[in-house]
Amino acid sequence: MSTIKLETSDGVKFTVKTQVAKCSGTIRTMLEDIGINPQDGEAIPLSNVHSTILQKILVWAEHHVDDPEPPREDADAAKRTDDICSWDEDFLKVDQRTLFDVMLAANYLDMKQLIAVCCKTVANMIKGKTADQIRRTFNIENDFPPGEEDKIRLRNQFCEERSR
Amino acid sequence: MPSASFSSSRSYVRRSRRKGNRIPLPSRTSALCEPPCQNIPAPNVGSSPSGQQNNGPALSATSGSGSSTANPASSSSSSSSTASSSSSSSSNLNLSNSSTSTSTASSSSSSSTATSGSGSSSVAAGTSASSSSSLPSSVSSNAIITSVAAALSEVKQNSNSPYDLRKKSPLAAHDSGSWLAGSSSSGGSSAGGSSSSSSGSAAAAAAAANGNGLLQFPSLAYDGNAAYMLPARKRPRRTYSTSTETSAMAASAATATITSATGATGSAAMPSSAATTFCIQSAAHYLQYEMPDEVLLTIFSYLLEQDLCRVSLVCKRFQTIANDTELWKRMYQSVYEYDLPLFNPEPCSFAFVKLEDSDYANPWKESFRQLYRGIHVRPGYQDRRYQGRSIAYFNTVQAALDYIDEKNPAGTGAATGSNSSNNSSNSNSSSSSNSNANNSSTSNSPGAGANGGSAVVDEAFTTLENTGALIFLHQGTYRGEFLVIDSDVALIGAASGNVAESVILERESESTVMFVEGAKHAYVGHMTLKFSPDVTSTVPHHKHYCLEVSENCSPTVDHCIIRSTSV
Repeated sequence: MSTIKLETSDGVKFTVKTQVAKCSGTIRTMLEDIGINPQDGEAIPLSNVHSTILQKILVWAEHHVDDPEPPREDADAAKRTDDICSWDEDFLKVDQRTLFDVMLAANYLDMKQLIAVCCKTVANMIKGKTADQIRRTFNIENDFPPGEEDKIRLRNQFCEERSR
Repeated sequence: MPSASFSSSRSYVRRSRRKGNRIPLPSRTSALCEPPCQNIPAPNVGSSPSGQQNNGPALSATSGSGSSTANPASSSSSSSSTASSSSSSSSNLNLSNSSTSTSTASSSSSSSTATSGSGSSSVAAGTSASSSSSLPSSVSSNAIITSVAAALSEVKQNSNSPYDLRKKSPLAAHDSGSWLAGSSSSGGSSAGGSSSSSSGSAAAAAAAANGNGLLQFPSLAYDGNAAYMLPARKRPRRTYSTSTETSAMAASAATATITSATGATGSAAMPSSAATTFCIQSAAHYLQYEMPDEVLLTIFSYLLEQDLCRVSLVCKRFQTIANDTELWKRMYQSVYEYDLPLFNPEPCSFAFVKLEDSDYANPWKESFRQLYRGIHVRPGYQDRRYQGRSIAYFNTVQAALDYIDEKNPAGTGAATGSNSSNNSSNSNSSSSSNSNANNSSTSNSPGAGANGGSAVVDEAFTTLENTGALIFLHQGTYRGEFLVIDSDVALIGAASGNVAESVILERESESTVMFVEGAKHAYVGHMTLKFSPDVTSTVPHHKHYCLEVSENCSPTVDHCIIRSTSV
């Protein structure tokens, strides 16, 4: 089983099975297209990922390494968010910051499945909430100038009118 | 050399709103409230310290501060966020205050000798010492100056909100910091050692005494500052560590001391709450500034129209992204199937508008809005339930018509009753019963205004929403439906490609569609109407047609293919 080394932004080196590392599109591209030879013993620098986050991501990749390629999503089908497997659900039961850190890193590492599952998790945090509740959930400040919000609300009213 | 490391760590802070940016990812070590937060989820604290390199001290600082507090518990309590955020802003103020005073102090001390333990420089040192949890005050002035510089550069970098502060965070301060550190690294280490033996509060008191009351930054500010400083301790340390190994070690020792000192003074709760504030704020920070657009788009792509509309009320960035045309196009086409947005500019008129001809910023959303009142005949969709979507689906046209009749018995009654009156009042009255009480009160008044004179666009569309029921017939052939239209309902084909050819209403025994009294403003469009009687049957069809319009009604038939094989 071949392994490669990854070096995080804080200088921590991880030795990872190549197969696991290839869950990341970014690393896969580095290995396959650019032709970095992992046997050289030189660590691949991941300057945007902190060791704590990479550790977490590697746990995920390890668990999902044998997953089959996901079926191409039907463009017509409404995207579901209730199909997160329970392992992932537990995996993502973390504070918001970690969740977002994982998302950013997964985006950087180009791990589509992980991004998808994170995005679903966040979408589930948004669903069914009013704008005010969403703001409170993420502590977002309302940065609309006064009056502007009412205009936007009018424009977005149509969905509410239909709900009974 | 240290300045290079700084500018690189700084780069992440800028508000990246650029489109399509490939993650302006934080260089991890520079993130502000890293220590406590990472400790929360991490089963992995142990993994980090092994990579010593130049970040060793930072890492140990991390685990140190993290272990001293009980973050996870308090981080979940978002209710305290507002209060603590205000307190943090006040401490920001204090910080900037102290930073100014410290900078003068440090400049004076760096220019002159910093040996005396009294005078203005020591006062300033006292101030900064108090803000950085007073580690060195009981020690030699050399050490004090180190802490001044440390506090100074920290202050510059740590204050979270004022981005301008970061910009002008001067190299000078930094340089002096490293210079001082370099020159007095031994002092620093001794500071760490000795202050570790003294209790934190005593040190603070000593600092206050030294400060001659110039340390009027109240004790509250001391707490706040100390708490504020804690998590970010490591940053200036990093520069040190790049310059001198010993000073780095001293720094980490000092950090540990601070942690214990603050804990000893009983303000252990403070750091954690301050850190919590950061974490919660940073959730917003992530969503508003750090997360690239495409990730937010992916999140929003899991939402349906109701949630998207609500999301766009949250903040400016959400508004922009939640109105993305591709997002709405995808959703629009999953609901309506059309290749182009279909607009309903006036009653009984439904026309496709090319994107380049549209006046709307987001034609898909606008069309979605105009057609949202419609119900859909789409076999196989009846039992699908979507959270965040309120669209009714039916398997047959008849069922849809029945549903409309059921829903507004009053509406149909009113419409038929006021047939003699003019159109606008007619459509208005039927609409008011169409929509629920809340809407009709809000939307009717502008509607009336629009009827009165030249309508502004918005008002015109408000009126529009008041027009009659819409039924979308999705792709397929509908056979044997008994369609007698007696109200102002619009039947519209809905499919991709050539709509009229894809949606077929067909009947063999009687007229395919009949309009009878009451269907004054009914509409049929964008579909094929077929009458194809069985030639072998003996039933006479001389009175049966594709389309039959009886007395007292004036339906609109538009964009229809009409085929009758009747002889």
